[in-house]
Amino acid sequence: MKKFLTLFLVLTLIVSFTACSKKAEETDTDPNNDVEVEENDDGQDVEEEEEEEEEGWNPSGHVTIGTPNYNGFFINGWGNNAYDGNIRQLVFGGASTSPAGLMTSTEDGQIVENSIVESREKSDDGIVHTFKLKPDLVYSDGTPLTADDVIFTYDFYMNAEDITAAGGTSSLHEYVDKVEKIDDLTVKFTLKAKYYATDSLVFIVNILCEEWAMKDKPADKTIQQHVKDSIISNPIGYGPYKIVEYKEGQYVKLTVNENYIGNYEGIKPEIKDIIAKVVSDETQLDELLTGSIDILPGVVEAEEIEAVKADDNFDYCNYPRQGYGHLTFHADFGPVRHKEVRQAIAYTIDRVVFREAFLGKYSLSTDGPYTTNYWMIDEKWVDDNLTKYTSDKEKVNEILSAAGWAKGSDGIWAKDGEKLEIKVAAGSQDWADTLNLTMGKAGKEFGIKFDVSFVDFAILLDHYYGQGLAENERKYHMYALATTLDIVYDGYDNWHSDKIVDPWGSGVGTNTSRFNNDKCDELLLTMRTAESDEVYKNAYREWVILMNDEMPVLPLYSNDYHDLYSKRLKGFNTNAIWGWVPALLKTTLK
Amino acid sequence: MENIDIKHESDYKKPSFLEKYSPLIKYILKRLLLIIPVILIISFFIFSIVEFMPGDPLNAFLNPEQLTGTPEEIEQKRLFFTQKLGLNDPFIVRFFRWWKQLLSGEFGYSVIKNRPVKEFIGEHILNSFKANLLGFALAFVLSIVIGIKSAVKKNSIFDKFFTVFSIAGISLPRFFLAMLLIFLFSITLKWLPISGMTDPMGYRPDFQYYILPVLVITLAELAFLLKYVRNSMLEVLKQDYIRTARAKGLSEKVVIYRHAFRNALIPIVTLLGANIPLLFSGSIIVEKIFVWPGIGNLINDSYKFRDRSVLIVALIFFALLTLLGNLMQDVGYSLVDPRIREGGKK
Repeated sequence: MKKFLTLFLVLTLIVSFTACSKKAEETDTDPNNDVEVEENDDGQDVEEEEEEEEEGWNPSGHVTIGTPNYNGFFINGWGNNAYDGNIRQLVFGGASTSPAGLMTSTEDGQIVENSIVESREKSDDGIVHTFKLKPDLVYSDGTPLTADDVIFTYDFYMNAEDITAAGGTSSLHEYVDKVEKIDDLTVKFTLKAKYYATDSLVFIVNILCEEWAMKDKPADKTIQQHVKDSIISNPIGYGPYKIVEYKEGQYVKLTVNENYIGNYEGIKPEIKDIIAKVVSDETQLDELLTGSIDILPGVVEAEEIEAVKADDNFDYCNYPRQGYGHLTFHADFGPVRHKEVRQAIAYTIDRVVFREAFLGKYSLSTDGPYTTNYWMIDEKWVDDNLTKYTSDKEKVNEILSAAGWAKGSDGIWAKDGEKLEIKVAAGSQDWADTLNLTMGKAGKEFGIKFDVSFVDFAILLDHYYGQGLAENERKYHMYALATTLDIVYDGYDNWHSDKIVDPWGSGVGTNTSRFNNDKCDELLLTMRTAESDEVYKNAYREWVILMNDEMPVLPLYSNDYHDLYSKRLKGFNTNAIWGWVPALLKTTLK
Repeated sequence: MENIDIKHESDYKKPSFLEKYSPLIKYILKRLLLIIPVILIISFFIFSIVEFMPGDPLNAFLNPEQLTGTPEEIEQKRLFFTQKLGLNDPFIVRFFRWWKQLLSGEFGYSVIKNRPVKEFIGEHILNSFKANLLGFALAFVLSIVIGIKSAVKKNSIFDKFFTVFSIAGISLPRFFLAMLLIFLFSITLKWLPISGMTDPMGYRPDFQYYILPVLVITLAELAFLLKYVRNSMLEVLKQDYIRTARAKGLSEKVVIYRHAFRNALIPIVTLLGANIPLLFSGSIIVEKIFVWPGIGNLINDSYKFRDRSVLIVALIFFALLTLLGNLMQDVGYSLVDPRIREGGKK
């Protein structure tokens, strides 16, 4: 029997390890030692390296970044997973939330022509845009990049029917009337209207390689369906890196694109290989401290940040998040449909206490749906123009009394039979606990009864979007959520009254706060169609003042994001609109 | 008066494999056939529970943190998924269509991953099997070896050590055990990687990535099984036939491994079958910590966003595991106990 058990055990081990192992490459055994292995596929790599040396560009070494999971949609059009977005930026270039196309964004958030563009002409009315590509452009596999690819890309995304049928989305058809080929390098766009954010809305789209997309396409499938079904996780691009291997749920391995012509400043990467490795929340810091990963972006937990600050082998970049955590009011429901009630609620919560309890010390608060990263506003303007909401009982009394509210025998404010009993939905236990500790605890004292519930996230979304529920099932006045803002702000979809779906429960609108305000609509349209930065800035500022007063959303915190990294990296600098992908282009390894 | 036909031992003809095991093979086939109606009934209940769970599965792609697109686009996408999931059809129609799809090798469509479930579920299940079965096999073999030794050397240092180990192992949550091992082997000693399944740069051999997750599963299972093996063995060693065997002058090795061991296995076999589905569900946390792309990780995400197609397949997979576990339990019984195999014949 003992023999049988021993044999069984040995066989189990052999079978398992045989099944589970792949041939490891013969390499250095020290994971932290960057010794390159000379690949040997017909000497091609050796030749390439020689060519690179001749040109004086010889990237080396590798960097590993720890990130959450990917969906594997590495081109535009299928979801907005930010981590998929990072891979798109590596493959196509770019800096903000989108991969670079004909345009890209700079370190300070300006939208400029991408390096693949030779020149651009714009008609006086801003409707016709003509782009001329640089000659001899190629994708990472050597396929030429021409006007045909640009035309193909816009046809691909503007075909709303086919892209929707393949489970994707694109709003390009709403902005672009037609795209025409002038010659092999020149493309003319005719827009339906001129928008302030045209450059980012229309021209920051990855230019797909037609040959790549059409290869092996079955006759019975649309191009969109074929791309999505077969090759969406392995696109070829014109950015700094190309995908070598994608292991779902584990990592994406990329290597330098030897055909890359540089970013908008002509800068090329000095690091040869990039590994974007999936890490878990529980062990991400250990992965960094033990050298399994070199960069851990977007850290908000104070304990993790402190641990890295205390270690001489690591450094960090920090910046305010391009967004905020907030309590969104359903501004057409119950007592919170009144502006004075929303303002009073904003005066019941001590946001400093909330932030410290929720996040520790690395956070700040804004007083409206903005971020201080935007060029349109600065701290001084904020201090001079916006109401700073904080816990203030006198203010609550003053605002509500002036609006005709009175406290009942139970100490709760009431008006016309309507009591200030506010239901708050939180999608996580942390949120619910912290809200209960702050506004929940203080509410009674202020004469407002808060009922904060931890609701299963899926159910919270049902109520938040109001899809398929009857009016009598509606119960939450406020929702604890977070929002990330675009690099060029266009609040039309999120705040314009046209984007409210009425009645509640009949569909999903993008104005989720259901805030309906004529002045707001007017300012949003002014921003949208602004002819100049000045017009846009003034409208934006006026809009922020309005939102600060109307309070359809109560911002609670903006994280102070920390990108933690190993000192093995030199020159790694990130900010809210210049993430780890573009930062790596200017980074070298010690 | 009954004639008792007494055969001499030399007259006894050893039955062939088929003669010996044909009742068992028939029994297994019968049980496998029985799984079909049972799984049908179970799938109906699972399908009903998942379908009637509160929470709109079509909101899964609407990340409130970065809500982009126009209401029209969102509506188009909702229509796309409604069509893919057949949400406009009555429940019973959806159920039978799901079964029809299942028989043709389709498992539905994932809203989160925006692709057919069949494209990724297999790999996740396989990954879970890799870690779990390896851990389970190791735990099973070690529990028998250690459990027998503990029982035979009752109250020795060896026995006391493993009794404490067993109690501690059962008490410790797997999450804690995983973190403890990571701290020891990855952070302090730097011998093993913290997470993942393979090294993209090829510096480490793949088997190193298996060690920690498998070790967590092995230790947790071992702690659980050890107690039962030891107690079962102790129980058997008290039996009269063991005393008789020893009195006959048989060596202790023969007494333990020939006479005691098989009988001690009977209650353990019961546990093994029941333990297989528990093993998989218990590894959900382990998979999350070690970033092991198994079915446990899938279930986490699928539940949060009500990704129905994935949830249904995953839950039916667990149900199937339970049924197969029960079958293994019964087969195991008959393998270790001839009385059961021969249908109670004397």
